[in-house]
Amino acid sequence: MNKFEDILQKAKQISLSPQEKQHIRAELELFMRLHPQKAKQDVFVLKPFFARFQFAPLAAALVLLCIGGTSFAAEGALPGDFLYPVKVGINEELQGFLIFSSEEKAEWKATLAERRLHEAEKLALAGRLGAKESAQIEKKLEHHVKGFRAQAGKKKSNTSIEIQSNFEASLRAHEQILSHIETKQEKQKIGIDSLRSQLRTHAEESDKARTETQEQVFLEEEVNPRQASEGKLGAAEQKIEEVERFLARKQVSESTRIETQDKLLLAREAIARGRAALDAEIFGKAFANFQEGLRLAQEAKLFAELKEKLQLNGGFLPKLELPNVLP
Amino acid sequence: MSANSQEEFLEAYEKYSDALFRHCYFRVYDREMAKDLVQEIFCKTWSYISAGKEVDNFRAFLYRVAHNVIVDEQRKRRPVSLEVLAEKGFTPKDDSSETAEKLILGKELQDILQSLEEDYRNLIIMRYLDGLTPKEIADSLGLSENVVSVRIHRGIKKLRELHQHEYE
Repeated sequence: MNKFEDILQKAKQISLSPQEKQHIRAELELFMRLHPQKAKQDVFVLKPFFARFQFAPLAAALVLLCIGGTSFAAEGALPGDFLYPVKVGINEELQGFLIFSSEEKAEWKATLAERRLHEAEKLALAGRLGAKESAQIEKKLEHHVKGFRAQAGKKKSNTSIEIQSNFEASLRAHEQILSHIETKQEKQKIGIDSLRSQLRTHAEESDKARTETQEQVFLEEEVNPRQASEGKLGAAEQKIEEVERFLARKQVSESTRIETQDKLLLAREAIARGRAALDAEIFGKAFANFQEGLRLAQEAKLFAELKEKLQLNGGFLPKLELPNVLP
Repeated sequence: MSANSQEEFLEAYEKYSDALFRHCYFRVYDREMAKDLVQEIFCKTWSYISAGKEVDNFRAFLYRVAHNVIVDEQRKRRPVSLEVLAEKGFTPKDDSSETAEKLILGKELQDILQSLEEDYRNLIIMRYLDGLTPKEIADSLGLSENVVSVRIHRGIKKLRELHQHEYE
């Protein structure tokens, strides 16, 4: 390998000139002055009621500082696309670096699971969800859900309850969306059915796990049952309002509006049951029902958003959009 | 933590910037772009650190960011696959006379590297040009050490096969 070593030796002489090095350093120092260090405790402040989509922008913003355009280029990639390995291998891992509490890790796993589901939906709409792709996605999904379970159960807090509840809502919303897609893409039936059944199973398991966490949180001494229940009632009603606001937008299709209102009805019923329990001062029951209402409202919200995003309106087959940044 | 880590960071810049520049150069074959990339890599690494996150192996981290930044750039510039590019071959864009000599220095390596696929090429660059250990490469690219070793071995083997006539 003599010759190769020679070639390497020559190549190693390629370097920055002292002026070039200094110039870049000057730019770097300027950048450092513009972006001073933050004290460690400032960085991740978890708010008490911690909705899924509040977290994503923060992490995304920090990652974009690090990665700039990469995320955008690879983010829209689907299994089989050239940059898919970059998306999954490097982008997601790097984003994973920024996360350290068990709650945030659980959130991250949930985000990963949702990405796989988005991919499945886009593939299904494009008629590309074959047995192979479906199996691939199911396998990854399984992995993310396991990771989620491992992290979500660690801390017994209201935040972890909400994280688990949101995850369940997400799984159910995606299952319903896939059901819609199935009616338009008969040929994809096998792949979609398999995925849907997996989602239903995971959602049920999530339900059980969350109920356990709920019970344990209520046993905590610092928890004031009445306050906790009333707080949860507030959150549930707020969520319903959010969904109503979304539906009030002009662009939302009529079919979405109708279907979502049906779901909101279920949420309202759960809240009504909760109020009855609250009046009777059965706080555990009240809390559970309000949480259920919150979850149903979240499910309705996700469903509506996904349906609009994928343009699953009645009639014609939607075209597959060009790769885009996912929220 | 403050003044100290700024100093440390700038020391790291002094220490690693040349190697990173070389690495970027043999990925994009454009001196000006390689310089821009080096700047971007360090700025991004600073953003990461200044947000309070710890970095275990600094060098491996720099190369990870480098890889990301390069892929980004390649994706932006060329909508065509990198294999096709390698076939076509591309010439370095730097015209200045001072570096003309240096251009020639790099040409031979460039030619050899172009005969390899991207996966092998990057690892060969990192192992033999940048002098990273297989473990560091593995950490940088998020691969297992095993995969890295195997690919490097295959890459060298392929180089031998392709350039048999050049070796004694």
